[in-house]
Amino acid sequence: MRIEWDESTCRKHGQCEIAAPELFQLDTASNLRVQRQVPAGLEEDAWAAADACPEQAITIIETEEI
Amino acid sequence: MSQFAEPYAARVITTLMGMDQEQWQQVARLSTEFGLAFSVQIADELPRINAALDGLLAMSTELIERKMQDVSGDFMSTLVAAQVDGDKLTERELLALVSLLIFGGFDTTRNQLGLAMKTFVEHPDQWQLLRQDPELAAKAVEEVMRVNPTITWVTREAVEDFEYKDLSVPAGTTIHLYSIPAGSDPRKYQDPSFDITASRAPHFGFGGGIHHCVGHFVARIDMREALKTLSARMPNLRLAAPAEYLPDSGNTGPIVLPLAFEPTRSHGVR
Repeated sequence: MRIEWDESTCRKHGQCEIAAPELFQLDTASNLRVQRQVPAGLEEDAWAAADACPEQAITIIETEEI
Repeated sequence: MSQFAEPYAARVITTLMGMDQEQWQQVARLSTEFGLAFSVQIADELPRINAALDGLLAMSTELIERKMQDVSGDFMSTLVAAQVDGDKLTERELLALVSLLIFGGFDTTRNQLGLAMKTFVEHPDQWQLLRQDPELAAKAVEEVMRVNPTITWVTREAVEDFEYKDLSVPAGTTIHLYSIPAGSDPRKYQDPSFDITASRAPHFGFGGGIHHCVGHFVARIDMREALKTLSARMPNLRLAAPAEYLPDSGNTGPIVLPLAFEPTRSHGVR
């Protein structure tokens, strides 16, 4: 599973970090760090973050497991 | 509604805000009355709306005063003490915020829970799926909000004259932006049928941008837990008698939703 997000749409609301703190970190200077490859076990958090974003800037891509 | 959704939604608010649990009925009554402000009958209902607003403001004033002495670090005492570089919320800002939290947290959640149950009455196979796998409850909340949101439109006022697709809108016009079709737009949802197992693009039920619902995490969690418990305890869910609904305009939902089910032998929560 992979996270894609639209930086131009992002408004730094920080809801993604609340929903999935291991995948999204927003610092006090408003820089956003995103863990693009979602580790096993955090898939639900990734979906929750996509749902929580007030700008709908996050897209979850389900990748094929080999 | 009166036996579950109303007391449940109101008690989430009284618990979160550190209010006396016994105030839940007052929260419910004042919020329901104030909710008339979102309906097309607003002009006729102004006296009731204003009376309810006075009640909400009085309730909030008393709560803020009490929480100013409170060092427990709970939600309200933290909010009242909050400051950034010495800059605090003004009395007016705090009062507006607290009143909005009390109202906004109750009315919508009560309605959305009612609409959730109505949706499941219409899709018994989905209710059965939820009973078999309660971990679907979080997805169920999202899916219900997509197909049956309590907020069917958002209201704005034109601050200047503008044109939109051959429509001339003068400044001062009240505009109701009908948001419910966003949930089944074929450009976004190839198959818009109600399916709590589907992985979906985000819905618009909490709004968007800077005015996105601030309490959405609270609402999501309490609806998730409610659906888990209700599905465990209410097999063979169906309508017992005709339901009554608020008007479709603005915030909508059931007023009365009589439900029948087969009582289960065990009373434990899964």
